[in-house]
Formats: sequence, C-alpha cells, structure tokens
Amino acid sequence: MPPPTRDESTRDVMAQKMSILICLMGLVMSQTLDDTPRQPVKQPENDPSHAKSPPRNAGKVAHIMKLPVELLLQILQHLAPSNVQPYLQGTSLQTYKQAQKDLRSVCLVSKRMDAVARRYLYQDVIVKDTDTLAYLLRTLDEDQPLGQEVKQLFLELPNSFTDDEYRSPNVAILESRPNFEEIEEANLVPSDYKQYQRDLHFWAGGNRRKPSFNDWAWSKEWRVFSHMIYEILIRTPKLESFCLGRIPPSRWNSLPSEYDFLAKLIQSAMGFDVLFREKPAAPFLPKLTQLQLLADRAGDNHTCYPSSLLDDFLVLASLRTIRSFRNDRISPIRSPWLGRSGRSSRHAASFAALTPSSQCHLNPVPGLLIAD
Amino acid sequence: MSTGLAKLTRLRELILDVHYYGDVKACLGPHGILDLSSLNELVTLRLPLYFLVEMQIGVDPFVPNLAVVLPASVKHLTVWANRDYVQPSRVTAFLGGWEALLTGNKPVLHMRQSALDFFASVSSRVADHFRHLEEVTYCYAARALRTACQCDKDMLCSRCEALKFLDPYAMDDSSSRMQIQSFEFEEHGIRLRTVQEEVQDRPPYLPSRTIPELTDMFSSLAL
Repeated sequence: MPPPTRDESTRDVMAQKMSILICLMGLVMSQTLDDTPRQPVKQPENDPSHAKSPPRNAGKVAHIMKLPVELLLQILQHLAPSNVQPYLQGTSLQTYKQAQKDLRSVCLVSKRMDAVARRYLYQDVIVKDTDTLAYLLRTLDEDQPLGQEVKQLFLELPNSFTDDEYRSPNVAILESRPNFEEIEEANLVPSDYKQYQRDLHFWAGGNRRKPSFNDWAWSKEWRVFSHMIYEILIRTPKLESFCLGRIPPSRWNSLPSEYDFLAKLIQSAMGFDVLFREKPAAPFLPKLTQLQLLADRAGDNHTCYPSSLLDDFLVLASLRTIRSFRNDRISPIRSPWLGRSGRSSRHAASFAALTPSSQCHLNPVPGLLIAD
Repeated sequence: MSTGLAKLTRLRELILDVHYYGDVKACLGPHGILDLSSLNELVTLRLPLYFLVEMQIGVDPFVPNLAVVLPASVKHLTVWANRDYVQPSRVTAFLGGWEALLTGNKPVLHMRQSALDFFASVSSRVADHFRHLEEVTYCYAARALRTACQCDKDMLCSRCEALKFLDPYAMDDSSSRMQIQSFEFEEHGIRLRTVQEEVQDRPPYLPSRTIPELTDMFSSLAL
C-alpha cells in the first residue's frame, strides 16, 4: 500500500483536529452528569408568574470545565499547528491558519479555556505583514506573561514597497504608549523628501552609489519594522526558534539599518548603552536553539543579503542549529557596537595575520578591525 | 567567522548556503579555511567547498588535512560549488592581489579537482577521525547546466565547460578516481553522493499594485 501523500496526511490531520474540536464543543453544550443532587425549586403557591419550569441547565456545570488543566493542555495540544516551517503556502499554510482559528474558537469558550488555549495559539507565530506585526506587539505588551509562550517566531515581512504584502505600518494601534515613542517617531512621513536631500548632503559612503529616494524611503520604513521587531523580541525571552525570512537584497556592502534591531538587542544584552542609552536588558534570547536566515524566495540569485546578520547571532551560545540560505555575499564578522566606517577589510586581513592569537572582529566593508 | 562559530559549542547543525565574492577567504579563519574543529557536537554540516580549499600564491589550490578543521562528530557532510559565483577568473583575480598580478603566480581554482581532493582528504581519515561519518555529498550547480549541449568540433559549449569545472565524473581520470573513492567510502559504510542541484531563477517580477502613498511622494518631488 503506497504511503499517504502529503495532501492525504494533511487532510487526515485536519479531520482529526475537527473531530476533537467538535467533541469539545459538544462537551460544553452537553447535559451535566453532576453528582450533586438537584435541589427542587420552591415555587410560591397560587402565583401564576412563577409557574414556569426552571432553566434547563440550572445548577449544571459542563463536564469539560471540571477537567484539570493538565488534561485540557493535553487535549488542546492536538489542535496546535504542527510542523510549522518557514515559507508555508498552499495547503500547509491553510492547515496552520485553520489550527490557529480552532484555537481562537476555543479561547472564546470561557476564561479558563482561554488561559489554556492561548499557550498553543501563541506558540508558533508567523508574521507575514506589518499589520500582524503591530497587533502582535500590542498583544505582547498588554499581556506580558503571554510572551513567555512564544516558542517559534517566523518573520517574513515585505521587502519592498511594491510587495503584495506591504502595508504602511499601522502604528496607531499602539495607542501612543510611552514605550513606543521611538516607533512613532520613526514612522515614515510622506513629506520626507527634504530630509532625504539633507541626508544625502551628509552621505559618507565614499565611492558607493548614493541611495535612491526609494531605497532611502524603504530604509526609513524598515526602521519602524526594526523597532517593532526589537520590542517583540525583548518580550519573548523563551523563544527557541527564530526565522528571519524574505531578507531583502543588500543594496550596499554594509549592513543596512533594517537590522538595527539586532545590534540593539545584542548591545542591550552585552551591557553596552553607548549608542542607545538603554539599561542592559535580560540576556539576549537565552533559549534560542534554532536560527534560520533566509533570503527572499523570489530573490535573484545575483542579489545578496548582508550575511553579517549571521555574525550578530554568533554571540548566542545556546544555538544548536543554524540555517542560512541563498546568501550571495558574505561580510567579515562585525563588532555590533561599532559603526561602519574605517579601514578596508584588506588592511584588516593583514592585521589578523599579525595577531593570530587575538580574537579579532572585523567590520564589514569598509571595515575597522578591533581586537577584544 | 571561525572564531565566532567556535563559541557555539552546542551547535549540531550548520547549513551555510552562502555565496561569496572576492575577499571572503580573509574572513573565514587561519589560512583562509573555515575552522570548525571546536564544534564537538556538530552532526550535520553543509558549506561551500571553497571554504575548505587553501589558496596560496604560486601553489595550486589544495584541500588541507580536514581532520584539523572539521570535528570528528560529523555524520552528514555536504559541500557544494556553484559555477555562477565561483568563476575561476573572478576568484583568481582577487587571490594574490597586486602581487599575483605582477608576478603572474595566480592560483587557479578547479572545483572538480578540489572535490576530488576533498573526498581523498576525508577518506584518508575515516578510520581514526571521522568515525561517525555516515554520508558525504558533493553538490554542484550552474545555470549553464540547464541548457542542452551545443559543442562543436572546436569549442566546448558553456554547459560542457561548466561540467568540466564542476563534475568529478566529467573527465575520465577524475571519474576513475571517483570510483576508487566511492569504493573506499563503501568499505567504511559511508555513502558517497554527487548531486547536481537546480539553480532557481527569479520569477518575472511585475509589481501587481501601485502604492498610492509612494506615488504621491514621488509626484510631490519639486525637481
């Protein structure tokens, strides 16, 4: 007998989950099997207004509500999405979305069910657009313990203005919270062309091509995303798997500002507050064991993404899996607390030859060699 | 990169499907080789073959003793080469820098030869170092391999040229060596594979929507 196809397996899993969901809903709506004897309702005599029969479910408690939390967790685990991978599409994506929908339905049953089902609802989070990013941030900010439940985070954000998934980040839903001022300040204002011209005036890129207004505007847009990603990551300390997908091609040789959130996190974790004036935060993603850095699926083979991204994560001693796909350019290891100016990497390579025993961190081109 | 990766002592899987230009050798580690010897829990490894090839001026590129740079824990070892990014001229133009240009002692890279050297280096240390090794794979790719052969009497077509550069079975002498290598690996119960990978093209990118805000921004430019 041939093994089941992927679609058949997926359908079987969905059918199983639906049956579990239907059973759960049935338990909630079923008649009680409560052992406590029902007290007869005392009706006043000769009072026609009280001649009605008692409500059908009076004094009854749904069977499922009496189950201990441990059992509920085991039951609802079967509803949680399984085998969540980057770049889900088609049937796999539908399966994931249906699982999320089922869990959400269970959350609406009661507060008790919500407390249990939420753990699985936020266990594996896929973010494909900026609206979801903003709502996720707001949710994690409102419910601080919820961030502890996030175990896998897949960020597959748009990487250009003309991307189908692109939406201007809806920072308004963050409701002007004090800790989100930086996000709101970074929000792109359409009339920034004058600012673009001013920035060009101070362009320190040397012989490198100056960014177009489109590139510059996109960089500013991504700065908002970057701040939001940073705020999300510091609220998910138990994250075990992080996937940064749809990494855009690198327009310049150095790490663009889109990934400032990484530098910010590492600096916070390592106790550096030189640039951002922040107090050191908790250790940076101490539970992270899997890292995936994936370029855009539809990217040109000749484009590149800043592989010094990988370098930033090399400080995480907990990592057990690193997958880096379709990277077209590799840059020297970068010290996260330094800027991007300095001597060329050719000189850095010479310096490395002179001091082979020192741990040298090289900045991306143009680079600056700093020894630990 | 070797120094950075060495800190990840619990790393079990490392996949570097990375492409590279120019001066990557300076960033890898000592002698331009990626050194993963300290990753004692590494089980699955995939990396560019180029990261294991030592390039020196005046000397043909060679694969050093891999027992020094690869951990003994590796079970699944994959190296790959892509013709489109490791153009011999592009690599040799960088290697050696000004000195090579002046003296003409430019090392010439042939992935096919390097693949053979890689297999030889691994098989020579299977008995005492790579004891856990179960599978060794060499993957190669090139856009030219998607085309049909168009060789004529005088000139190799781009497809055959790419094969000659990449495929260890493309030439008689290297094919013989591969068969010997395959036999040696089989004796130790290790599977040896050579895989031609597909090169994925970017689909035609046509923006399906306009961005009114962006259009407004651009239209407001007072040039």
